[in-house]
Amino acid sequence: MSNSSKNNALLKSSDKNIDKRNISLKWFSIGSVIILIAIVLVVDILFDAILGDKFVFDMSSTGQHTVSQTTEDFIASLPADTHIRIVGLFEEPESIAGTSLEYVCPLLEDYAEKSDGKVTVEYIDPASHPGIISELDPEGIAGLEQNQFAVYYNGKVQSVTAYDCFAVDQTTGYATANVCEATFTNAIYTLVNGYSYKAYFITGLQEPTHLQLSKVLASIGIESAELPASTVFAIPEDCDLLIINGINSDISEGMADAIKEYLYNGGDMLLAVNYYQNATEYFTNLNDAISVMGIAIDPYMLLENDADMVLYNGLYNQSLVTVASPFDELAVSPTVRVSYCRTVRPIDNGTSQASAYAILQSSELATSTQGYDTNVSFADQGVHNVGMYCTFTGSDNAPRLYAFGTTDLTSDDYISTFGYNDSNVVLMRNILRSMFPTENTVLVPSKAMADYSLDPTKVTQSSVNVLTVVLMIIIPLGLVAVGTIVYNKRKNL
Amino acid sequence: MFAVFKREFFSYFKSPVGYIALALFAFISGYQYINMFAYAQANIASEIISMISFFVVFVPIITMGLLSEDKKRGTEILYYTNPVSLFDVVLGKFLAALALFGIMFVNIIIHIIITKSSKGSVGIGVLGASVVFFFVAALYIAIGLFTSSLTDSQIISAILSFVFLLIFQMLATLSTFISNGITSLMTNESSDATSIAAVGEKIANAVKWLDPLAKTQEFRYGVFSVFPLVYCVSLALVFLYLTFRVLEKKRWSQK
Repeated sequence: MSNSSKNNALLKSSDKNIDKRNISLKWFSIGSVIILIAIVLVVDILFDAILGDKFVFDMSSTGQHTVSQTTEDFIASLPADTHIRIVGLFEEPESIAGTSLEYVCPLLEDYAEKSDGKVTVEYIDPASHPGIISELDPEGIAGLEQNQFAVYYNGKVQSVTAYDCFAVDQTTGYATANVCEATFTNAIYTLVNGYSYKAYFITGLQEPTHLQLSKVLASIGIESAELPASTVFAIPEDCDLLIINGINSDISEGMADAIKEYLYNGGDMLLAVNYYQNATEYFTNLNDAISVMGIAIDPYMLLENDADMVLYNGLYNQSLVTVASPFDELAVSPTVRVSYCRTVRPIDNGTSQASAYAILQSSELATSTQGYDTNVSFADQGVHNVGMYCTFTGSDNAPRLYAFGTTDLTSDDYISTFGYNDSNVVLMRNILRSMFPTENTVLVPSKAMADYSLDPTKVTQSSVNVLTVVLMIIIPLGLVAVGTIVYNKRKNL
Repeated sequence: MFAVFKREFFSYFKSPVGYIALALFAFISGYQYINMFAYAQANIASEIISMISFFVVFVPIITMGLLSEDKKRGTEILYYTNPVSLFDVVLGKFLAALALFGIMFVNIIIHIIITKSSKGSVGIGVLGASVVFFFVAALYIAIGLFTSSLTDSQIISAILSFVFLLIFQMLATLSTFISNGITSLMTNESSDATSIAAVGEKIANAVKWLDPLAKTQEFRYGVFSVFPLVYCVSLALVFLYLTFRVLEKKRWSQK
């Protein structure tokens, strides 16, 4: 064999060797990548499916995005075949940051995760699925609209809007508390159990809205309805509780007669009026109606003179009043806060069997006044009642009247500002619960909102300007300048 | 590995790239912070999460030269001739880029200090958002490093990285398109609309499952979940391994 042919043979054999290694390394490379991707996918899928929900820790201060044990227990108590659909009537949002939905959607996911299949959450936009509203609410009773949530159970539906999910300060318009869980759990509760009682709000007497009190009532199984003031006023047969809340003008004589008859027949009533912007209103007919229970609402404003009980003097006239025994058992605090309140007093010419008991009382140093001048008061220093409970003794069908000279336990304004966990609201809720006991009620407390506000005294125009210059001009331009210098010095290296 | 890390990390400050990335981050985060501060509000967690959506710009800038520059200069031969494993090279470069994100985060710390001095609250959500910041950064840097290993052109590397990251960023949107596309395509050939919609939805959910941003949304509220972090780390490992294999290929490839 010649040298050249020997060399060719060697080259061929070495080529063969290299090719073999090349191919095996190539396949090893491809195979290892495929195996790694497969392992990662399998591990991730299994982790997500088996442990994903278990390794979630809500460390937010108030558990904003996690359902409470109360809700978990309530849903667990429902039969296994219960199916509640929560349908967001809009496209599933891709980004919820900075919107009200950032408090709603993660919470709903938690409902679905912890309900063992009893609650499902979907997002169906009526714009692309026009039949969804008529499918959920064929008769249009709930008035479902796009961008709302529908809570559906067994042919019944309730609508929930994002607005329902927050307590809002009526003055500033800012959300003060997150009541998403309370709203959805109450909706589920009422759909599953139905309402046990019905309350009627008398309207048309210059009163403010009563949305928040209606929610409180719904949470304990009481349905709310409105009863407009009219010349043919009549209290419906199915009225379990008549509510007069924050009216600013008096009822008519006819209404007073109807209320008297209602009370005589053992009706229950909640009355709350205040002294804010209605100083000239004497509520003559209203007092006539409740006189059967042996009390009257005074046309006077309470003036607290005990420094320990006064919260704000002058303009706000806000003070603490003591919750009297035995109602203190229903309260979470020995005192509640009131402002611009009327005094409530027992009268001598009430029905003979009427008995009245104090619920809320001022200190012994309190006086009262007429008008808004807090520097002028009557010489009536002593304990004044701000809330009283009245009933008939020795009667099987005794009426019950809770009368308050303040709306700080019942108004939207107050409840929105201070939330459902405030001591005033808790007292009112417990009074209502004691009046209408129902089993398995679900009381979910509201959750405080995250507060990102800064001290306004620190945020002046000049501080904003200084920070703008430092953060957006000096730091970035400084870095660019250093980069340019470095580049110029090193470009020729 | 530490030598590679040190060399790469300091190289960011020997060229304008690191400074430009830092300046860009400082400007955008500063703009976001001022916008909140002017209204006497400071939600730092929200700011951090918003900055993550700009990773699609920052990461290509930071990672484009990590391997492609060495390829272009021919200095990549050092990876194969020095007594250092290729995976250490990959890991060193990866950690250097991640460390630069750590430097960027100083801006956020400055904002936290301003917030605290203005009596604002810095809650647990900030910690959650910060965790997400670094885990998503790690994933995106691994992707950027991989694209940088594919070419010797920094520009092509940056474009590839940008496209990859954009796809990741838009997985939620893409899932809807894919679902709608499949549904309309199959509707033409079959009449069972319900089962077609279910198939479309399952595919959309599968695509959405891959979205790292959707998984980490709740950290900003203080809701910590282990799986999204495992997902980010495992996917980052896949891309680091892919990068390693691309470099390793040179040892045996005849092309």
